[in-house]
Amino acid sequence: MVELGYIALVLALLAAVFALVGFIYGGKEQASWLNRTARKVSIGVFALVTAAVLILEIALLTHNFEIQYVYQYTSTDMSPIYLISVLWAGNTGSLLFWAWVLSICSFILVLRQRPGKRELTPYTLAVVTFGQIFFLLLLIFFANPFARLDPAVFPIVPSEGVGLNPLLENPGMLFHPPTLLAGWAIFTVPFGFAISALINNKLDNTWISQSRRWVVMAWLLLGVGNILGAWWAYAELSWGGYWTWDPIENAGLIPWLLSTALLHSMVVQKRRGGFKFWNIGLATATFATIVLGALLTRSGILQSKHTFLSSAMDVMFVILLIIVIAGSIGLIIWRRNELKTDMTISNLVSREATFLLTNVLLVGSAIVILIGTLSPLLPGLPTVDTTFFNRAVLPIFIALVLLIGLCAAIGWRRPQIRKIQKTYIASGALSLVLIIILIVAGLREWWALAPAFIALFALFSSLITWVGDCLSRKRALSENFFQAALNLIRANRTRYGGYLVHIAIAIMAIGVIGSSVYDTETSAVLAPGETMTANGYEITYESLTGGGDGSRMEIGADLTVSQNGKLIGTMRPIKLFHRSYPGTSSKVAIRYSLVEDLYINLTGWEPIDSEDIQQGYWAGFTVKINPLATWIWIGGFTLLAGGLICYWPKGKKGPASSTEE
Amino acid sequence: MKNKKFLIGGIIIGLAIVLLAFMGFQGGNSYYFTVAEALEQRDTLGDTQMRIQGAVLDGYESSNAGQSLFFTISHINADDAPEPITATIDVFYTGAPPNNFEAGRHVVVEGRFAEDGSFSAVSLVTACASKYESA
Repeated sequence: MVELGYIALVLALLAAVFALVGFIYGGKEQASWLNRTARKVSIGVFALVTAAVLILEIALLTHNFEIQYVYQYTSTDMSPIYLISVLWAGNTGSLLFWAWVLSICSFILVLRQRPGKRELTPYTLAVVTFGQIFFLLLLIFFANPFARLDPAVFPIVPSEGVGLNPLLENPGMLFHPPTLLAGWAIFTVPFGFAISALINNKLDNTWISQSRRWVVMAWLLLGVGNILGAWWAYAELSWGGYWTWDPIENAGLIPWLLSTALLHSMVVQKRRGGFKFWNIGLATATFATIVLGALLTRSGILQSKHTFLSSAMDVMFVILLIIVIAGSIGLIIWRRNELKTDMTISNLVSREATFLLTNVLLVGSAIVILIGTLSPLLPGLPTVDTTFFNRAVLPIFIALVLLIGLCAAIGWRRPQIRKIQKTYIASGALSLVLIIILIVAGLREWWALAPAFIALFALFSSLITWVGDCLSRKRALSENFFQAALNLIRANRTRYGGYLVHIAIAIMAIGVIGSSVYDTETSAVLAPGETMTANGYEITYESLTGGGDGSRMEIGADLTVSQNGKLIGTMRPIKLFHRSYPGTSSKVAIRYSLVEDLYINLTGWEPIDSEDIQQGYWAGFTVKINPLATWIWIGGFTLLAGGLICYWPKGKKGPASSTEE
Repeated sequence: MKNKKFLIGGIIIGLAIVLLAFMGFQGGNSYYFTVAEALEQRDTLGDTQMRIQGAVLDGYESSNAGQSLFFTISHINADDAPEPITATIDVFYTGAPPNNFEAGRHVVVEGRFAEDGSFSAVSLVTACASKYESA
């Protein structure tokens, strides 16, 4: 059975090589025998890789511990849902997942190909197939997920596995790695379209319209993946934060920023024919940073330069990176004359100009984060930490949020100055009122209030523009407000989905400002019955109680929580002792609310009298209050909704869908 | 003429970003040391606030119902080889460690050297846990 998985991968590799040759030599001739066969073979690759994935999943679910991967990452006491998720929990499994997503991509591309149309698809498929070959080579030669345990060490098959790192047994981990991995993998398709457009010398809007939804999907998965990772860190790591500018996090953020820029400049090319160079450059650069991110997160190169390239996998990723960068630059130089556009930006106050500025800032922030992430490797640069990123990147992000506020009311070409003025005055006044209320309430931190003003301005400006558009439509077509709002979204998904994403970013910015500037932390060691106070909360420690099951034991502290004298509930932070993992881990108790999160960590305990444990235990607590933190996750959901609206295909009879963007 | 306006604007933004990065390096790197560097600088810098990066050694202990943590960090060898560990710093941290704190993990501690040569940390940051182990 297990051999079948490996055989499926080998057959998939052979088929993919054949398909690659077919797609390259079949060229634009879609009806050619080679191309038709390559398409069929490509479907075969999808079937074979899917079979390999299923075989690994069956091995995981049936506890087949003769397979090293199953032994290393699972145990018999894990629930089926986490057993399934182990596919992407380890290095080799995640490579298989990556290859699988690529094969799904080519399957969809093949299905959507129409005779006589989509002449860019064959070379796009060639690029995606090349990606499949790369990952299949890794899986077959360097990271076989079906490898058996070494019989020299394990003469008999163990009856129990090592198990998953308990920190990864969290709902966030079910979705965070696959969304991020899928986002990375799916971006191969827009990259493929860009390469195909360059090779075919067809640099008009064709590749833009055919790859737009792929970009949106990859961008959305990357964005949601990053936010899920942040939420996982917040809920699971017990230190109360959500972002540390870790290289792993940056590897997800950099391509997201670049693809955000790409989404913007694609709109400009579609509408005005400009930004051709930007689009090709961003599509290739985003993909290059994805490959670089995969290299950084898998090789450990940033921890120690000296072991770098000692593993064959590192060498493979470096070769891929060189091929991607050199190939893209070569093709761009070759087609440099065709990438020139004659679009002129006639007015500084126009959507073209704000999009240009947005892209400069997005690319600038991505470059700064990249330099910071690579600083351990770059000669002459000091190794940086979070301070560098906060100082160098946050101002750029604040400028971007300001741009969100400024751009909402600005149209294409010539500005409607009166509309812009009205929007700015209204949203500026609303934001100012809120900020003044905060100042009256006692907040004095200008470094928080100034960006908060900007975020509020962006929020109101986007909302006001949207509501204004709804009202115009309501008047013009005599629909009611909600009809108008819905039809407006229907008629122009890109634009209003985009507004929703802008609103999401503004909401998240407010959450980040509140929770990073105004968070407080209080620690105390309490005896049973004692109460500690933190920002208006009275937290009473009742007792320590046990619990758990065969795989882990838990000790929890039962707490009664009141706010300003009013009982609001009980909370129970826990410490877990795992059967298969050494040490303990904390499971914080979080009370989410729109105003502030109450975040309690049980740090430990000691007997009050070690001679007489009947007297109970001292227990240590760290209580964090994170104002507005929930808005980060609300913003995440809003971003998902906005992204889905952008992604949703135009209806067959979509009204006036092509006129406005 | 029009393009010149954008070129100048672009250059100004570019310079602003470079300036930000430069300022980031200025602020981000002051007193950010490896264990070996910190030990070299210990006498000259006195009780200046600094950040030190190192790897947690086996045998850390928490006390005071988990509110204090004592551990030792070692210099991260350039090639992670199991050489004898010579450069180490004892760290006292007031607070509970993050969940992914464990022996071998790379951490950054922020604080000051005490008179006895140990390091008194007020902040403790660990490297990300969702990293894939190399195959």
